[in-house]
Amino acid sequence: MKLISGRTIEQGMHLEDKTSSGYKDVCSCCIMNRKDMFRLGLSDQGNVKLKNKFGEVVLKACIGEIDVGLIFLPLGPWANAVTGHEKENDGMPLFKGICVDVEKTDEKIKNVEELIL
Amino acid sequence: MERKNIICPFCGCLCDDVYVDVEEDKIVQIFNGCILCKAKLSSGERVKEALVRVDGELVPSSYEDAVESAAKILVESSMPVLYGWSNTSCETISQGIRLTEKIRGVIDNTSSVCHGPSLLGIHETGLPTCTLGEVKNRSDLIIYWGCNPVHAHPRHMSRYTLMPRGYFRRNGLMERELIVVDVRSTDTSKLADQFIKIEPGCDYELFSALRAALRGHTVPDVAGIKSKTITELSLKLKNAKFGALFFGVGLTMSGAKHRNVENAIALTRDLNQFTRFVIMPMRGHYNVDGVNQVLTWQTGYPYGVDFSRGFPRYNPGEYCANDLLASGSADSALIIASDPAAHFPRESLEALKKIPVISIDPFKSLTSLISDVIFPSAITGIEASGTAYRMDCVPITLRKVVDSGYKTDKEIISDILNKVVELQHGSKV
Ligand code: SF4
Repeated sequence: MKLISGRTIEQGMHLEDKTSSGYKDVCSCCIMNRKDMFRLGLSDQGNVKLKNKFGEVVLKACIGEIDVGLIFLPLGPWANAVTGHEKENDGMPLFKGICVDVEKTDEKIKNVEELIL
Repeated sequence: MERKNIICPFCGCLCDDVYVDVEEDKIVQIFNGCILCKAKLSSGERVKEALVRVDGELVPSSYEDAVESAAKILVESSMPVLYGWSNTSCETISQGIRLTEKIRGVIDNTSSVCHGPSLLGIHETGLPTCTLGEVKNRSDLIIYWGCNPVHAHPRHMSRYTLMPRGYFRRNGLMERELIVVDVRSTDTSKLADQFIKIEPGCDYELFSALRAALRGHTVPDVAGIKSKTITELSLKLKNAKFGALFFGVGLTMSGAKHRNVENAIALTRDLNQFTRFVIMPMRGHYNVDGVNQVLTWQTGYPYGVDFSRGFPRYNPGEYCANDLLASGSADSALIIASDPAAHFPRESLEALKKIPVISIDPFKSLTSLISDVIFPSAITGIEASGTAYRMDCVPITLRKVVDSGYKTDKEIISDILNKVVELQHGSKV
């Protein structure tokens, strides 16, 4: 599936407050299409693991208005865990259209310190 | 209690109609600001004192000792990266460039992870643009492409584009049409007269198709959009009296990146053969444009400038912060007015954790968790004055309305510069 990370107003409201639980709630919750959730056996608000060559991350998956095959995640440390940097490019890391494998998981969502430190 | 006017120091809209009630040097109420402005002015954990890492632990330090530690780190590095700058004043940025030159480092700002590709596109084609005031007074067609201003620039539509009454648009919203192009439905697309849902990474193709349709060619279905829709859209653009295309990082971060922007500008240029059309990037941080301006005046280049040979060199993809971190070339970092630990990819973060990091920020950022020297600073625009550039390149003076007692970003950078010169030559600048 393809991951798109982006700004949201809720994420923006926590920009100066990134160690708060509110920031974690907002930035670790991805949006997926109902059909993808069904295909992967996920329940709304259930945990999901995204994996690719850059790393892996556990998120909460929520049903939202998005096309099949796409996942939207607010930008932040959770999105960064699966974003990367291509050599010989224009300096811009890959933040949108990142290929990820998605699976249902029982693992818990890491907090910001666990991701950073 | 006193009511004071401020310029909101959050996003590139730099709204100048925000008022705050100040009581005993504290903001007690905010008027006109959007939810992002209110969150910035009323939340956030402040860093209270300078901190220096000793034996793995951050311990309180005197300001002078922290300046000395920071200067030593920079002087002893062979490739220091000075990154951020987008949430501080032009005056601070100017000092930062002098500091970078002295230590033969690299200065980069958040453009390299947002609108850097826009600047590369602009290098190629120029930018047919105008001020937001002109858009407000004249535009009858607004396009938001790859951006979601309802979330990222909440007052953009109400102050500058869709809703305000303008000199030639007395009825405001009633005389304007809104088109949104995006890969997903957003709160902005829900307000649009026409929402065009495009396949991810296919913006370049759609711009090309629109340019061909403008010239009267028949185009096939492109980017998931039907041929008929593309032809009708090209006519709509042509028939507008004054069109304004605003684009976000949806263009700069996906598909052809800077070529997307180049093609968007080419479309705008083509449209000017038929009508008046302008284009503008939706700049995020309130002074991200200011960094590009000041860097260009002083070095000739807008971001990612390398001074390692004693003169400025520019090559995005080689001298941007992420490039230097990913390649392992950066051996120290000074981070000011931004939070790369929260916004850089994992491999850059891992590289940042291996090198000494100096951070200057009013709030406890995620970068401060991995820093070796931390300076608390005054919030520019509230506790310090200075100049910032709005997204349409209009300079605006930010006001100081609260006395916090914290050093300003400019004072901290100047003190580090003085200390660097002292360490290098045994005298002050
Ligand atoms: S739109 Fe931007 S500048 Fe205006 S009040 Fe909101 S955050 Fe501040």
